[in-house]
Amino acid sequence: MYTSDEKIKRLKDSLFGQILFTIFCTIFGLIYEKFSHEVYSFYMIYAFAIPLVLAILPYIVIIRRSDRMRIPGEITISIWNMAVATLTVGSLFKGVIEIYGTTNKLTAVYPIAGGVLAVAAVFTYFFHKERTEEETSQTA
Amino acid sequence: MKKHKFTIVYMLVLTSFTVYMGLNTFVLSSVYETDTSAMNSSLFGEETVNTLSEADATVTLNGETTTITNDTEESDDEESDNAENEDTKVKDNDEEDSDDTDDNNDEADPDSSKDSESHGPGSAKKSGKHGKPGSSSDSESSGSSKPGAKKGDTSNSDTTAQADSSENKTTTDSSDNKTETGSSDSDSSSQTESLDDESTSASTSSELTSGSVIGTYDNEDARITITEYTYEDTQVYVADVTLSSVEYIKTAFADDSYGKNVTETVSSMASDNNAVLAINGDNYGSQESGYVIRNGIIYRDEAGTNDVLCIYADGSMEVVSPDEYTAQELIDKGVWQAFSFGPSLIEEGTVTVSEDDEVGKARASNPRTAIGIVDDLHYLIVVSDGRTDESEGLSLYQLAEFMDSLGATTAYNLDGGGSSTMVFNGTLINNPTTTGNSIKEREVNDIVYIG
Repeated sequence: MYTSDEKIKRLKDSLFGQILFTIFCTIFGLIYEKFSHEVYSFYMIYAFAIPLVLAILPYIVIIRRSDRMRIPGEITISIWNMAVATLTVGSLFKGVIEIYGTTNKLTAVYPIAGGVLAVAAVFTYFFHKERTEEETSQTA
Repeated sequence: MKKHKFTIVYMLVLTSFTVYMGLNTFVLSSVYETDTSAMNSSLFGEETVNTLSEADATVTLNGETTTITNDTEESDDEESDNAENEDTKVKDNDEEDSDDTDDNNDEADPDSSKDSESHGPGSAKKSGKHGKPGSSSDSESSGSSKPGAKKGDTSNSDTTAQADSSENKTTTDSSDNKTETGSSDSDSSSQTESLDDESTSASTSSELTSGSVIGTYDNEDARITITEYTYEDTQVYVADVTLSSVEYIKTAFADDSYGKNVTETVSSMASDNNAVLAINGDNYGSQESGYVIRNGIIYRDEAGTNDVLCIYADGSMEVVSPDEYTAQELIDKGVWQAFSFGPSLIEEGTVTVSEDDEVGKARASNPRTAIGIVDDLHYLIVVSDGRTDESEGLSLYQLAEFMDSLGATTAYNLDGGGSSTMVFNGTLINNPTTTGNSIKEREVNDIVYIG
């Protein structure tokens, strides 16, 4: 059982982590492209957009509208963060092999795994309700 | 806490998988075929595919002339005959050189400049049919070597090493060399020409400043002229190849094995296969699909997404879409070699790439390798330097324009970047580099060679 404040605090922690991850992806992509002799890959250049769009923006929206929106529980946030990490790492890796000029069919694992995790996170957000202390006390 | 553990475990799995992916993609090798020496001679209606004979071949590299003759029982007679022949050749060369000089003098006259055959790319486009290899009437290689043009320090030993075949005898005639050196010096104007502004549409935007012959190979089956150009602040090496049969354009795999991440340097593969001239191929192993047809044998029949360059047994060259034909249909059509890299640079004499329509991943200036055809059994093999202060590199469009100016009617881009390598007669011709910091050959999957 968690209070709403604790949930928001956890969300803010995740937001902070995702901001750091986005900054890392941006710098990594810039440095990699800098030394790739102008052989470019959209997967490398825009990898930072995945945590930015899928994590930072929705987390900010939820935090700012926490009084009107359901705050995701710890399980949901964990699974969602794993999905974002999987998709982002997959994008970076795809960028590396594209810039090198090669292919690997196993790169398809990343979007598949990321998609499955994202669906699981959405499922838990809507159907796995973590009760807050307030809700518990009201029930009692 | 258990939930955090689950997250940590998942991240470890994700990291481990990514490390495995990296190894699987770049390091771990898998051999699918261990013997790739087979050649489909039926395409030529013969029992075996002929190998380029070194008999009576004359090789010139950086001003050093090497003559390779057959070592038979009548060696003494042969030697004297060859000596006579060589004397005759030298005389012929002298005559041709003087002809060239005349041609160059004539170039001051715009009308007469059109008669000069193939010294500059612009004029080469109008050269039309070339004579069969060995024909003395063609003045193409008569300009011959430009002393000290490039890599002079390494040429001597390498030239000798190449000629160390078991049944052949190598002689280096310094007097001939001097003769050629003299003629080359006097003929230097023929080797440094500006692109004729009126000769090609491409020439108007190009910066082709010079072309100097740095090596030649000449025998009854093949004539090869290696010329170094400066184009768009880039050193470009062009092998002008005329053959008596396309069967002398062969390919070889690293370690004589077909597989993934099986690599070897172009120099090493060229040496293993007694190649006169070798360049890197399409690095088939870096792709998981795309037809691989080599020496008439299908190694991969899975269609890819890249254009396919087909070199047919009749010597013609064509770029086809992988959707048009299966690999077996290509063999049935008589395909001798097929490459899956691309893109196509020139088709039917028209440049097919634009400045804005490069291959998505590599639009910038880089080292490049390309192959093209001018006319029947007359091919162009082009390698450019890049990524260095001395040599910027070419975009695909610039490469296409350059080959267009050389008269290519069909041209195709092969693997480039750090892979771009040209080896002639055992000597590394270009300056291969991956990072631009050091000149070093990259190990690649395959080569295209003349041999």
